[in-house]
Amino acid sequence: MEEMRASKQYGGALPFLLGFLVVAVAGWVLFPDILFVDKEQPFRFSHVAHVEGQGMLCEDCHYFREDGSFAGFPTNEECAMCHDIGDPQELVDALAEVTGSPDNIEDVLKQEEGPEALDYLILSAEPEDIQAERAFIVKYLAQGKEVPWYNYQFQPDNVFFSHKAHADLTMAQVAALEGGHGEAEAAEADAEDGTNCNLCHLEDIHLRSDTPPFQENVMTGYSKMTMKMWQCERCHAQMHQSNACYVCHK
Amino acid sequence: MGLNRRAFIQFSVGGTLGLLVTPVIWKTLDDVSIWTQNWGWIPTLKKGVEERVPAVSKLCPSGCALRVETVGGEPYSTTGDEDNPLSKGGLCPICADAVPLLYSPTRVQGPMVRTGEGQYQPVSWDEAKKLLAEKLGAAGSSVAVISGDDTGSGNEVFSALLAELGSDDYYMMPSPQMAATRAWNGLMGGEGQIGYDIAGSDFVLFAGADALSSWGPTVSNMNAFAESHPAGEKAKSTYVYAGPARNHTSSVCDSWVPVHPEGMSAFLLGLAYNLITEGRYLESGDFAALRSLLASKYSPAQVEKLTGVSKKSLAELAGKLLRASAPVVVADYGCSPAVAAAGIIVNLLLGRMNTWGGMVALPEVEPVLGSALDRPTRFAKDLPADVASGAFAPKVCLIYDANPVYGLPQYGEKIAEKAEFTVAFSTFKDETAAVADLVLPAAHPFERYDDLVNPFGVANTTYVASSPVVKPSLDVMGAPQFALDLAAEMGLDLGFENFEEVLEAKAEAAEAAVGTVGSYSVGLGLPALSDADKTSGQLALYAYSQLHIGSASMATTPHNPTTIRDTELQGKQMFVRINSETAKANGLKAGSKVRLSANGVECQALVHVDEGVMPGVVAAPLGFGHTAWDEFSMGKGGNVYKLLTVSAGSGGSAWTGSAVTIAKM
Amino acid sequence: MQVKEFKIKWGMVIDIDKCSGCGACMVSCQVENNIAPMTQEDPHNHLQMMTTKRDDPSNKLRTLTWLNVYELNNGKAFPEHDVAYLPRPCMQCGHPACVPVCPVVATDKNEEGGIVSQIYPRCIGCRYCMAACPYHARYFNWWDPLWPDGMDKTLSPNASVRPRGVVEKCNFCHTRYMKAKDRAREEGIDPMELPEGYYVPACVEACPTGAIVFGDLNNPEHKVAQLAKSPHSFRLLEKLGLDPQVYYMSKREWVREQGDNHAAGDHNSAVKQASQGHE
Repeated sequence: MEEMRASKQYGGALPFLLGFLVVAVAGWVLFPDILFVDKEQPFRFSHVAHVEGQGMLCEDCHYFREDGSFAGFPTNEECAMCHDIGDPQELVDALAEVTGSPDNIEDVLKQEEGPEALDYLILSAEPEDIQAERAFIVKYLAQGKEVPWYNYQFQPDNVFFSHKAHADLTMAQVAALEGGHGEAEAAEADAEDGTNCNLCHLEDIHLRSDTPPFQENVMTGYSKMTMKMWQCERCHAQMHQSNACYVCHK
Repeated sequence: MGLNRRAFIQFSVGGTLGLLVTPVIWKTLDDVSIWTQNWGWIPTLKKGVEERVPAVSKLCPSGCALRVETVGGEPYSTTGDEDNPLSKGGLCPICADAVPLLYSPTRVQGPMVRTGEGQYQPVSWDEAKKLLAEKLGAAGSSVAVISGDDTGSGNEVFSALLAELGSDDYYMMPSPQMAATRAWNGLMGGEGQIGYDIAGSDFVLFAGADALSSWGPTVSNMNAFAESHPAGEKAKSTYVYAGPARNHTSSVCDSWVPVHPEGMSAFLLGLAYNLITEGRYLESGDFAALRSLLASKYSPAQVEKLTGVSKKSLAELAGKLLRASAPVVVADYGCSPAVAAAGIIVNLLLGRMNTWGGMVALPEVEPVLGSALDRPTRFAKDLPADVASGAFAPKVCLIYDANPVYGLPQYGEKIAEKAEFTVAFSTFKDETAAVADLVLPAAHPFERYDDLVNPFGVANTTYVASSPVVKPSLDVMGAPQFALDLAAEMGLDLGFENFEEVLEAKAEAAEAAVGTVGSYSVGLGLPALSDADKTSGQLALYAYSQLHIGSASMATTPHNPTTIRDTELQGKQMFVRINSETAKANGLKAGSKVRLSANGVECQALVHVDEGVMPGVVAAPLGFGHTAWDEFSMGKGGNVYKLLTVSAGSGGSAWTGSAVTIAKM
Repeated sequence: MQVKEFKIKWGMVIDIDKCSGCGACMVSCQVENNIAPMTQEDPHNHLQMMTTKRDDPSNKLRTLTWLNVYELNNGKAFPEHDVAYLPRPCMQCGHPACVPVCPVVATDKNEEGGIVSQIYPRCIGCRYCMAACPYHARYFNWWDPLWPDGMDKTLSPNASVRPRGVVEKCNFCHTRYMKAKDRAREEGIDPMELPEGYYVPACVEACPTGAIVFGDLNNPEHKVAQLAKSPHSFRLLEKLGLDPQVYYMSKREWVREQGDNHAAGDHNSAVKQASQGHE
């Protein structure tokens, strides 16, 4: 009997609207978040410390090689031009002396400073930067391992992306296009130095002192920022560029 | 408040419609489709800077100068080295697969000591060194070295070590260089290392030498051929192949002269007969004796019987050689010093010694380790003969860069039985490593220092050294470096502690070796030639080598099985090729299963009827029949090296007259 | 079928008289394009190991040979017998037979350069294209790619790894083309006017006898443009009118005749008809 009354009470459309709203809101608000998990980068990297602090240029690390390919993540060897740790084995030995074994040298990261052999190598001044630099040296430089950075702009192996082909594209050109151009809209103002990195990459990364978590799609493993094929194709079409399969695929 | 059926349905319908206006379904479908494109077991690619690093690969017999392609410092492929005269951008099918071999599970992972039949125990390099030092100390001078390194300075290190231990039992694995060295430097008393200026010649006769596929500096020979035959233009020179069957070399040569396997020396001497008839002569004191030998045993009519080459064809070929402005004859068959000597004689008669486009004698590159044997002496010892006679019975035998248990004609399997303690320096788990008492893993060519000193056949002094491209991923080291360390451990002074320094010294020595040496006034090796008229009268075996199948030391590499034709190998059965006439005579047809036997050994095969084989000849591929290695070669086909019948002639062992029987199974 | 015309037409001229059949090109091709060696047992797939073995490399219906070297002979008896070797990449046909039959547009000929593309994630493995290709240039992945333990460390960066169930074929080492264009841009050269030698497939580079010449058939400065016009040049099954971008040349008449595999007597009329049909 109670159910009967309830039904009359709520009328015809209300449950319908309620259902519609609950699911629509959940689909738009909650779903995008549950699809992704945050993965922290191997350690915090501060562009500010390098660009403002040390006066480095973007091209010092991210440049076109002679063969026209683009150097994205710098290698340990390039980092070591400044972060010179000398003989890695000596450092490992010194750390092993503190932790008791060369197998667990990463335990020194539990403390904020020391030993002397490590402190001596630190170039940073800010406490957060120091911790990050300690992690870089102990986990990667000392052990001769390249840093397994997560690439926010991850693309699968079947995609060939040429930075060189896009190097001369200016933000103004993209902003002037008719029709939607997604991420470019947000970036239109930024054209001071002529680079167009903001088109695809984390906005104004050079002004950031942190490395936001990598948002990994739980199903595909792709990044939340991975540009999809339709986005590539839309811009190619707008720019009157070919959308032939082999323009982007390998 | 409650929920009745009606409200529930309304709620559900609303929810369903709500779902349709959200990205949930579409995004999920999209992601699921991407998920199906990225299975966890499909490996992903490496990114990073791409480079091409010059290096040397000695996996093939003559060694390839090449570039290793790397991504992020990790090798992924090889390509020829345009700047290197040995390569000019090309490479061979073995070295094209050199990088995958770096991480082959077939590599020897670390030093191992044999503890029983097929049982091995890993040891450290230090333990291995101490053990070997002890064994050598006890063996005194009863030590031998078997080397399969045809080109490197590593030979000098092992040779010097052997000399310091008081032994001169340095054995080289049989090779075309051995035959030519025994003929020229031995029988004929000549000076220097024989080479052929194929690139400069306008008429090249390959007598038995499979020079565009497996003989000599193969890639360099192929370059010479390519340049003389520009695409779309008239050829600048004529290439003729003489041999018992059509092979890779003959398929591109301008003509093929079928010559019976037992008649290669006679064929060359027949040419000499024609040249002398045309008025050619030699300054040699042996010339008169040569003339009478030719007259008595190698007249065109006799040669026709021995070789199957008609008097007319022979005379025509001789005529072409005479009319050419820069002819050269490259002769090699069955490691026979007689064939090599006969070839040299033809070149001398043509006046082609140390001339542009002719045969050259390069000055020896002086040894840099004082007590090391010089090159000709290294090739003097005769391994098959000494194994057969029992003279080979060392207490310790060091096997460097060779796989004699597999690749030594007829006697391979006896090597480890005759030596008390066998040490194999092997990069891969090959047949020799499988029976050695101590297995020392040699670094892969891209992980070690190594060099090529005048790869046999080159026309100019050639030296290429190479340093490691990549750090070893396994507990391995360069064999010569270990030999230097071992000498230091035993308190022997070889003059060097570091192989890299040996290479530096060798590079200087190579720079000093310029021009050519040698003269026409040499002996003619007549004793070796006088019995080249013998034939077995039976079916003759023509064993041929193709690098994509492998070599005497290398098995088929991982990417080469797809290059092997289904008329060469079918599953585990190899094919031998015979002429339809031979098939008929033996009651065989295409696909017949047969048993080949020679000197008490048998091989099974299927018949491939091929009109490109002379009647009376069985053409069988070398390189199959491995009992070790991996699935790409193990148990596939039969080992034809075992069928080769070694005969001791003057000048050394050869296998030119390999009688074989073929029986239907 | 309508034909797209391209400013650049990458092509090969293969001099059969110079191919010794050594196999270096086939190996280089496999290494460059991440074609896994044919291992028969998959240590990670227990079910398969218990039931059946993967294919043997002598089963030529199951090998993945983007570039395959065929052996030809003139059919004559000893001693007139002659042998030739014919390397067969994808012909990158002008009127490809494979493209129109693809139900999902996984293969297309639409990029400047005229290379017929094959997009693996899009392929549904129906194999219509394989049935359509008269050159047998297309291959199906009957098995997942499997490298012997550790060997996948040496993967080439130039080709994505294909899973089981898709079709693949030679694409003239297309990633090398992309890289050549990047290099040209870096050096200030117009990527539409690549000088000869900037872009070379792996097989061409490896060949020790220089039997394969590669370049832009539309660029008179490239050697292939002249060689393709040689009286000794021909294309395989020319009478089908597929207009391949791969040319062959041989001074031996019997080789040229086999290249068109014609029934005796119909050679000229067939070629004529085919060319009329397309003009």
